[in-house]
Amino acid sequence: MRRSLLVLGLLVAGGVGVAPAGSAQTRIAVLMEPGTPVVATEILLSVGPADEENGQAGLANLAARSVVAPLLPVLDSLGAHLTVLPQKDALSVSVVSAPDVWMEATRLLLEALFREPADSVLTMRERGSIASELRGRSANPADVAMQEIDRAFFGTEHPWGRSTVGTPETVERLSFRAVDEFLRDNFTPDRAFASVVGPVEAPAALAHLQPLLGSTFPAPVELISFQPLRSPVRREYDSITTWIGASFLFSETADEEAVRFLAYLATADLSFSPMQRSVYNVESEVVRRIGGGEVRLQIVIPPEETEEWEERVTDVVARLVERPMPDDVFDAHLRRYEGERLMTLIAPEDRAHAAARQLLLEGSQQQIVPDLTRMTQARVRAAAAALRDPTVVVLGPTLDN
Amino acid sequence: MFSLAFLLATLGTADSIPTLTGPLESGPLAQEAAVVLHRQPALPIVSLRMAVLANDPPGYAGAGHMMQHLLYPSLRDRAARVGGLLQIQRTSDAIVYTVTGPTAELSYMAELLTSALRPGVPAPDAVLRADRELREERLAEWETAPGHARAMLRAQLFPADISAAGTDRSATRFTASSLPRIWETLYEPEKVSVVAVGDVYLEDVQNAFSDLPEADRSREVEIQRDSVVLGSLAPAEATRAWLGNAYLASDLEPAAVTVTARLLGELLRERLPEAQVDAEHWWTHHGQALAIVLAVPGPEMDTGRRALGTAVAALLDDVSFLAVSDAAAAIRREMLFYSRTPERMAEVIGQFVDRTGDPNATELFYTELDRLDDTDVREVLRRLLERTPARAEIPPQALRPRVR
Repeated sequence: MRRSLLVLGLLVAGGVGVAPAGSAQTRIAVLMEPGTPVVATEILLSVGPADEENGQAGLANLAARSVVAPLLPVLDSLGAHLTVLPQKDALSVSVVSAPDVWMEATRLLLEALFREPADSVLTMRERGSIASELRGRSANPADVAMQEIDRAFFGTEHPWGRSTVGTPETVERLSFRAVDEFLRDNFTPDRAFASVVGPVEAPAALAHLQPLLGSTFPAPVELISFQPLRSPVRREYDSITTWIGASFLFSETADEEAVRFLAYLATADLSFSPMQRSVYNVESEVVRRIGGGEVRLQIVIPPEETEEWEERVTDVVARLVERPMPDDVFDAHLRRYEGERLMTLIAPEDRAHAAARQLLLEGSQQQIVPDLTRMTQARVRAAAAALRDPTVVVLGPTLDN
Repeated sequence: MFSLAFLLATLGTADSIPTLTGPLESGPLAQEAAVVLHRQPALPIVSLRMAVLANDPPGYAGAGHMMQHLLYPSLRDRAARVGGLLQIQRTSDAIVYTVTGPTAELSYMAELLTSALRPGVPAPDAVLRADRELREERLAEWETAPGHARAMLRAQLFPADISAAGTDRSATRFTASSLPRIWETLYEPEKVSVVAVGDVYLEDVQNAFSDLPEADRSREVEIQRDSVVLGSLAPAEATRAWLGNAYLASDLEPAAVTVTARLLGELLRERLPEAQVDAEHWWTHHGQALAIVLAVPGPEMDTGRRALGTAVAALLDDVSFLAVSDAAAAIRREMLFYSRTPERMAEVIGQFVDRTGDPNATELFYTELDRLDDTDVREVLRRLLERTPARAEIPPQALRPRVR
């Protein structure tokens, strides 16, 4: 297990919004929503690829899927819906249930995560299912592009540079013993953060969750430093389209909401329009992690336009801030962005996820609804200046073939 | 009709399950229209569902949905300007537009919706595009076996409930000049209802919808003869055998019909593990029905037919208080889960309001589920046994040697 102490250092350094270390409340957030019909609970485990040994890519995901598998029929009988989502820095386990059964559902879940041993038959069955799913996805250029960007951005030796869910080959090599050991070593209450959203009372929710999570100090979350490859990274891929991905790093102190708005503006700039009709698709994602984060852009274009678009993607942020935007154009973008940003929180499980991520990253739960009333062009320019030069990955056929 | 039918069929008492909506606020709008509000202050978002209760005028089947296709691109783009999302739906009861977006844009979104009530004269190319989209919907209903089987059952039980996509004959009457007149025949402001779910107050919604257009009866269209084909279409291509039975259930307690449909589905899934089983409660202003649609492998067609024909009697022999309670509780929990976002809550509340006009119909149904026991389900089953169901069968395609 490779865990360093960088983030512990960051917490001690007193990052904005860090709650008093060690109190159980800093690991539980409750958002009381009287009009919401269900209760969404997110259990975020600070477990991921960094805890996997070399050659064990996908072990964290398999362990999570295996340990919740026996629970699914029981949750189903309660009408509760469980989702496991592996991320680079954490495992997100979400359960959405009727208000009368949410305590029962979360008790069962937390006991399964921290107390129940894995079942060997179910583990092997899950291993088979995951390997089949991954095989099915291996022909998807979007997945391949994302993995290539990860490799280029984090480096081939870095745990985040490999696939979070592993490959069919690595998953098939994972033994029940490895899963069992991984669970014992890493699925521990001190690495869990919980958020509850719905028609609940905070004192009752805290009284329910605290004994299940224990009152231990949150385990320090680590960041292993990484070194992006020299950009641009070109990879041959047999496809009729070319995928260009770019990752812009930002620091922990960056203005996150301005960075998100900047990513929205970059997407709008690169999107299909009468002036650029050859763009097939553009997507952007802003991921905040311990110690900072990244803006990731991905564009799909015809192979013969690769060079032109590689340059455009690389320069998109600089180009956006180069000349001021007319106020009415800026306001129209901001109006649309505000709506789209709110819509990303529309489901209670989305809000629970956002609150749990805040606990992991900030040490406390803050306002999850963004305040964009003071967004200005100057803020966007400052956010752009704080972004590092991108790591660019080009994936597609070359002109030679 | 099918979206709610699917929801209810897959959804149906536990004393402790909380309310779905609780008592809702409601009030009048301009032009005798009505508004129902479910306040959800968690997030500054609101979903506005505007329904125009209307049957397509005789001879103009599909007109309501055609208008939606004409308006959709522009309304969608206008909603996107504020980061909002627009959805259209033509149910058997109403022409529905739903927009979801920031509460701060309530007036903008209300204006967007009310503009759909003043459609104007469409451009000829837009008419052609919408006509093609409607034709594709009709073909999809005919081509795919699940849609085809349901259409055959519906045509037998509710002949007046013509497909939202209309007919080939009626489509010939949709032109740039006729469509505004068809709309004037169809639109009555007192039959507009708005369901708002989100971080808003009733008064704000009433103010936002203060400008509903008046009805204009000066240019109504002539009534035409409809030409609906009842069951004589070529069968859809299918790789499995599709079997359907549907029973009229308009006089039966809706909550009990929903639970019965779920129990019948569970029974058939147990008996036919290789089959795809959908047991649905259809409920519109045309009436109620309980429909079961099976897809079984070709060689199992006779077994499927027998299981389908005896399912009601078999359940009547087996039904228990516990099974009914479990099914009803599961339906209530699934309703809660489905309704967890504002636009879905608006959809569920709106479909009940469209049928009954009662703002609290959803909660009444939800509460009724809590009250049900096996005697209610037995009563439904006994009444179904007395009736002859509508039937539909689509045999699997057989490979035939080529004749030279």
